[in-house]
Formats: sequence, structure tokens, C-alpha cells
Amino acid sequence: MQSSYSHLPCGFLSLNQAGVITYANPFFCEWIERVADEVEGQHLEQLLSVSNKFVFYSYFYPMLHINGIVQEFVLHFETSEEQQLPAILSAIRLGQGEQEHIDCIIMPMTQRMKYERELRDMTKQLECANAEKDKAFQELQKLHQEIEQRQQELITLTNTDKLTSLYNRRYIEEHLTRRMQQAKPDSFSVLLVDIDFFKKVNDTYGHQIGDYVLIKVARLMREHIGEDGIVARYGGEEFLILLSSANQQQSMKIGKALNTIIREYLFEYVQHITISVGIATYREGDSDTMIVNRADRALYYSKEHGRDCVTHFRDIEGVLHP
Amino acid sequence: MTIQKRNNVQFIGNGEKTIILAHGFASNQQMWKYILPTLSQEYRVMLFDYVGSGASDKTAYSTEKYATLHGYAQDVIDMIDEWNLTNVVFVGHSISAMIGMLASFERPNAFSTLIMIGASPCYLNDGDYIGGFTKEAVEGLFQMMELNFTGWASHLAPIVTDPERTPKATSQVEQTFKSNDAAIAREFATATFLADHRADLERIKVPTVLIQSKDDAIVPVQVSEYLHQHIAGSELVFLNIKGHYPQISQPEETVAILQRYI
Repeated sequence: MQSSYSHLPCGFLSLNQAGVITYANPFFCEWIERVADEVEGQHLEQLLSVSNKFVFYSYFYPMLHINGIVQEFVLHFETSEEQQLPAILSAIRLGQGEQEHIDCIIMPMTQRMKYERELRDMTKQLECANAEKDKAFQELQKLHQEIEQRQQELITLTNTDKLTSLYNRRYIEEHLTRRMQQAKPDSFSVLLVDIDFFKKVNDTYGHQIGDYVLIKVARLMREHIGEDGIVARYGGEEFLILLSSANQQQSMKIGKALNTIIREYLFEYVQHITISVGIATYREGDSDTMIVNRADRALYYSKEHGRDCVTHFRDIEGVLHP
Repeated sequence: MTIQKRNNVQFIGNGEKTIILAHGFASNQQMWKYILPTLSQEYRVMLFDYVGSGASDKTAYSTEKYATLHGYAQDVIDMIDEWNLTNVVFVGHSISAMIGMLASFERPNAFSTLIMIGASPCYLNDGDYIGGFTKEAVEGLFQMMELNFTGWASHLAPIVTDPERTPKATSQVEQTFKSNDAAIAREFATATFLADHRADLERIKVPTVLIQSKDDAIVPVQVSEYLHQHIAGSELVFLNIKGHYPQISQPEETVAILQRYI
């Protein structure tokens, strides 16, 4: 029977149950450059390197025993010169008991292996390229986030008063314009605050101390107002506070509280200072200029009537317009 | 997900004593099929697949957990806890021997005997220690795997966690390994070849039997002797056979030896 294998255009091995080669056809012997006597009687593993032995024992051998057949398994056979020859192996387990044996077909794949390597290299290159692309994309996303963050910073910067870190006039005017829309009568109030005799502070103690007073007053007011409204520096020593949900009565209360806080605070260098406050509360048909204008007239009234006090425009309306 | 389903656990036989048969690297519980009929006549045999192997639930696989043998040991611990197993004979083939050892550290009272077939605490050569593999041989081995597993070559090959695509019981002949197994197999290979549990051997408190083919291409004789020397009170039995799978190549002899030590 075995003579019929001798002309096959591929390697053919017959193994006994223990894995010992009982027949190797001429094609196989010639291919691995060994004579038949060197091959027959040997265990198949004698023709394999350590790595290939491991793969053989870990995969090929168990699979063959469990499934009875293994197809397209890649192994390298070793020539007597320890040269590694790649081949595709298909094997089948035949017979029962004493008759049990394993027939293998070995297709040399030296040429095919070159393609495999090429493919593998290309896959790896592609993966690298993909990984680089992903990395570049992530960097781009990071840049985007940075730009967004910068933009936010820029917006904050344009809306902030550098000295006091309060909102600036630009911002509060915009905010006020927005707030005017769909507002209901008595729904919010505007306070204008002016530091009394601030020019004297500057003249007596210098601008640095003047700046210190501005910063301090700003902080004291902001701490007191908290979530109830927005404190902005309106100009020189003037502040505008928008109380987002205070009516006349409530805004007077807050104004007076501010008055007390500043009066009682012990400032460095200047010891005591006071503020004057003018208040206007939103009324039907109001505009941003109108409400600020009324608050300004109330502030003027406070200034004219002894300073260190709070005036609501409604309380002086009759007095101003007889 | 139950542990039973996760590890595809099967109990066969009704004996009083429980034997856990633990398969090795790149393998599954079918490895025991030739010795199972004899063992299950006398004992209650527990078979299972490690997560990522055989018909286990591959959705339970995580790279982080199974990067070292401790992840696999946790599988064994989970099963011991699930069925309150005590006085167990643990038969670990190949890398499973070390996995069983690690599990025995955590559940010392659950094990009565550790039987290690073709065990090695460290596959890589290291100074005077001969594990059988050089770094180059391991590289060659990975190359061979690459050629035999679809997807193995891809380092980005995802571990498929879609249960729809997880292979069910292997009714048809598996001629090639499925690509979704490739990443797991590669990680199992890495865990196996990076493992160095030589320092753990002296911590073994369970009576240990080493069963070793005299001619094992994967485990040199020196490794078995090393194990024997470093595991206190261990017994070393050489089988006068060839290969790394005595339970497949010489089931009768293997089962006879097992019965002697159970």
C-alpha cells in the first residue's frame, strides 16, 4: 500500500499510536534532507524544535485525539542542519486498538510562508498606522478641549474687573438687559453703592491703599450677597448690585445690612469707611437705563442727606417730583 | 451567571470522594475523557473549563483578572466555595498543577491531595535552573501560535464578549481555533510563560504527588526533580512513556497511577 504514497507530490507520514514514525515517503525525506532510516523509527517530536514541540503537544496532539482529525496545522520541521522548514499538516487518526495509527499529509509552505510574513507585516503596519491615527485624533481632541478652555478663560477675562475680581460694567449691563426681558413688577432690584469720601482715601493714603479698600469692600459685599444676586464694579468707587429676586422691602433690608457691615468693619490703615446706597426696584415698562437712572438718583439723595445711608427711589419719588 | 455555567462544571459519578480534574493551557475538560469512565465508577469527578477555555462563558473573561495564574486559581476557589468541597483530590495537568497549588493556599482545608501531571513551576531557563525554554524558544512558540490562530497576530484583537458569538458546546470538529479565542489563548500563554512559582513550592501543605512522563518535550526531567526537592514530602512517579499528555496517550497507566494515590 505504501508504495502508492511514494509518488505523492507532498510529504506523507504514518505514525503509530505513540507518535513514532512507521513510514515516511520519499518526498518527505528529501524535503527535510534526511534519509528514511533517520526518520522511520523516530518519534515525530525528534523532527521538531522546542517551540514546535510545545505547539505540537499543546494543540496538535490533544486535538487529534479528541477530534480524530486535525487540518491545516502549521508546524516547522527541522532538517539535520537545524534549518526550519514550514509546512501545513493535516492528520487523521485511524483504526482501533492495536491497529490505531495516524496518517499525516505535509504540504511544504516555504513560498506561502513568505506571503504570510508579508501579510503579517502589513497587518502590523496597518495596526501601527491605526494606532498613530488614534493617537493623533486624541491629541486633536485634547487641543480642542484646550481651545474651548482658553475661550472660557477669555470670556471670563472680558467679563471680570481685574482689581476686585468682580464682574465688570460691561458684563453687568449685558446681564441687566437680559434680566429686563419678561421681568414682572417688583421682581428684582438694582443697588448702586458708592464709597463715601473715597477721593480722600486716595489723597491721604495713596492709590495702593485706595485699591486695598476697593478690594476689601468688594469682597465684603460679595460675601454678604452670596447667591442672592450679582455684585459688579460699575466704575471708580461705584458698585452695582443686582438682587435677582428682591422687592422694595427686601432690597432695603439688604442695603441697610451692607451699610452696617462696611461701617463696622475695621479696615487696615484707614480704620473706618462708609458707603451710600441707592436702590430702584423693577417696575412695569422699565428699561435698563431707566432702572439704573432711578437707583443713581436715590444714591444721589443718600449722598445729599448725610451719606452712610440707604435710599429707595420710591421713598423719594414724591419729594423729587413735586 | 452561575459558577456552574461560567466554568461549564460537570459532576460525574457518585463516589464519596471528590476528584477535580483540571485541564492545562490551551485545552479543556475533554482532555480527561479517556480516564473519566474508570474514575467516575469509584469517585465523584468534577470537570470544568477555565474561563476563556472550552465551553466556559467567555463573557466572564477579563484581561486584568487572568493576566496571572491567580485569576485561574480564583476559578478553582469559586468552585470549591460554590459546592462546599472538602477533602478533594485535585488533579492538575500541566500549568493547572500550579493553579491548584495557588488555590490550596487560599483553601487549605479543601484539599486532601494535590496530584500534578507534567507540572512545571517555571518554563523559562534561569541561571542554573533549567525550565526547558529559552527566551528565543518562547518567541518562536508565539510565532507558531500566530500561524495557527486567526487573530493571534493582531495585538489589538478584541476579546469578543458578545455571548451570541461565543462558541457553544463543540459538537462539530474544531479544526482551527476561533479568532475570538486567540486573544485569550495569547494571554493564557503569556500568563503561563511568565509564571515563576518556584518560591511558592515550599508553602505547599497538602500531600503532593508528581506524575511525570519520563520523556516529556515540554517538561525536562530536571524540572520534576526540582519540584520533588522543593515540595516537602512529595512523591515523584515517573511514567515510562513519552509526551506531555499521559492521560491521552497512556490512559490505562495513568488511571492506574492515579488510583494508587487517590
